[in-house]
Amino acid sequence: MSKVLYPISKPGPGAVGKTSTWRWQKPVIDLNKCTKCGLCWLYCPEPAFDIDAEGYPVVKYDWCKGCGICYEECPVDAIEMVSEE
Amino acid sequence: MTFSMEIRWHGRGGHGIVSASNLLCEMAMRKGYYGISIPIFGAERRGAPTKVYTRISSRPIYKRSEIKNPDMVVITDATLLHIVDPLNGLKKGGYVVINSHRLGEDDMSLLSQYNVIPINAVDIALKADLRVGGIPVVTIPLLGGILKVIGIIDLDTAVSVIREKWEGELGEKNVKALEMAMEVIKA
Amino acid sequence: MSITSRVKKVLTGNHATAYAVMQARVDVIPAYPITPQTTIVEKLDEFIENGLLDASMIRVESEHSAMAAAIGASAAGARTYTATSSHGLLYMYENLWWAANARLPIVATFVTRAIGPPWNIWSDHQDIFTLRDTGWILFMAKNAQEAYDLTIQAFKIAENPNIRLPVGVGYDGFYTSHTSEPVEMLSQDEVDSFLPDKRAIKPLLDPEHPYTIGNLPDASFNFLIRKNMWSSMESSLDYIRKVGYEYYLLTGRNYGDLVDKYRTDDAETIFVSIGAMANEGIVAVDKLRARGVKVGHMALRLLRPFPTAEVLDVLDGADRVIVFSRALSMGKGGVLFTELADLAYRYHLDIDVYDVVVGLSGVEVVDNDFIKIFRDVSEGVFDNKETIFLLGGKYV
Repeated sequence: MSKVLYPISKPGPGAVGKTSTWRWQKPVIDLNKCTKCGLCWLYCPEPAFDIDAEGYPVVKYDWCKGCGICYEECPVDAIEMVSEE
Repeated sequence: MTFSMEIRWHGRGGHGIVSASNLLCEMAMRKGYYGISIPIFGAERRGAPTKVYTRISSRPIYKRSEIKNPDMVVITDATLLHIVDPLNGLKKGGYVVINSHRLGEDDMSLLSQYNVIPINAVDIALKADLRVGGIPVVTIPLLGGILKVIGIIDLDTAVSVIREKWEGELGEKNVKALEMAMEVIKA
Repeated sequence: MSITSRVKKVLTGNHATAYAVMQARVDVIPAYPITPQTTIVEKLDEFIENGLLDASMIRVESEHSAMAAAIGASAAGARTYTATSSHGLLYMYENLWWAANARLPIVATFVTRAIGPPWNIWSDHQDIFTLRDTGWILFMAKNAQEAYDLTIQAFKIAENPNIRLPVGVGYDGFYTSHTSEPVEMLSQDEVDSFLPDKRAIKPLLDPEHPYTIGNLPDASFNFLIRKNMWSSMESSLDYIRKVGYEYYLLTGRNYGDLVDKYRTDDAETIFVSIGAMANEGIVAVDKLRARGVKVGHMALRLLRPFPTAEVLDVLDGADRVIVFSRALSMGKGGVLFTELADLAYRYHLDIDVYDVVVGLSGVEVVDNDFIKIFRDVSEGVFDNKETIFLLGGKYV
């Protein structure tokens, strides 16, 4: 008897490979301006943000697609979109 | 004499490689050749790597499966060289028509065993004011390089197909970009 | 553009179909979008918007409603068209039976796509084969040209007053629906004179003489309804041939033969497949013939009614048939295999029929798959009692 194969997939990073390759621009955070509000982390649709031990957001560049939503949402303009070139 | 060529396009969602491949087939058809353009759909997102296969032949074409050993690869963005292995299976001495906009010195060594046709497609598209949604349309300048290599389609035919596809100003911008590319390659 | 003279254009299978539907001057198009069908209906919407097609597009809330609206429109005597795929087809399923039993000459395109879960957008033929027993006349095209040609013919067949059955034209999602290739289109005048006058469609509804449709009769009447459909199906073969030959005279493309034969005349082994993979089978035949092997390929372009005479004619003289199915009847075998296998018994054919399942869920089928199976069957690796599964060049 063969083992039953169920149509399930488990969530985890990178089902379609590193989505960083889709990116034209990347978000760069100015930690001097950052107020640790966490909105970038909250709004990121991937999610491609971590929060470090001090409470600052860290971009996971392997998965960030460069959509710019964090840049749009940051209330203190601490995020800049920088060309990949 | 029989003519047949297999071309594999590597681009990103939004670059327009599907439209460019279709145009190429239409142009080939006007010259009495058969053409088939096979897009590969996966994650249909702007920026995600995409692929299209074009077959052109003087004989009817049946195959519509993957092109594993192309005669030519077309690369719309040099960064793809390190992401999707676009040279995989390319025939020895095959052609690489590549947007040289972000092509580095070390990239050139990767390409050394092939016939490389680098075209600064971003520069040409910007000079021709050819943009869609603000992004320069790089596929039309690259099409100039392809036409140069395959040699079966004259400029007049190419221009008339483009003008039928895009009427008015947009058509003229496309024509200008194609002509500029063919001029650059000639030099 | 309105097509004033014959023209050849590079088109996707979906756009070729949309042009054929436009040229057939349909009246009503109820539709709901699903990949990979969507671009047919989008194109038709564009034709309506640009004044090239005078039709009502009914934007319904589901495929079940799409077919329900198609039933209503067709019952009122309108030339009616819709299209769907996969889960959309399954969602309209009960109404697809309703359309057939009520003898409504609806034409539909079924762009084949696998059925989930897990979710999948690529082509296999599991969806269209669920229509096998409904009473729909079913074609399966292998390229965009056939999609165009068969769609034009479909209206003529469906509306024949002695047939009055819905007609479906199938082709593979992406491999045909989104692939662009040269398609020769007829002029509008040619289509107008080829197709019957749509005003001659006899409405099922008759407000002058009210009656109910589909009420509860005694069981034997129901039996006779189905038997009558069977008879119409059987006798439609002659008319489908006639329409096919008429189209052949007009275009030089032969549909009258009902099956698509490639180098079958002296073949000892016949490959049988349908849809896009038939193209790969044809390439495989050329490669094997170059090595002196007598093989041929038959694409079953007409699935229902089953073209028994034509198939027997192709099989005559062959000693082996290898059937490639892109759909599986669980616990039985490849669906296309089961379509062919009974012929060997009924007509006492001295022929081995092999059952190969390939390309499920859109897995690519290539010429080398046909060649590999041919080689292994010839070497006796398999007998014809088993169902063979080939995935990406490997047996699984």
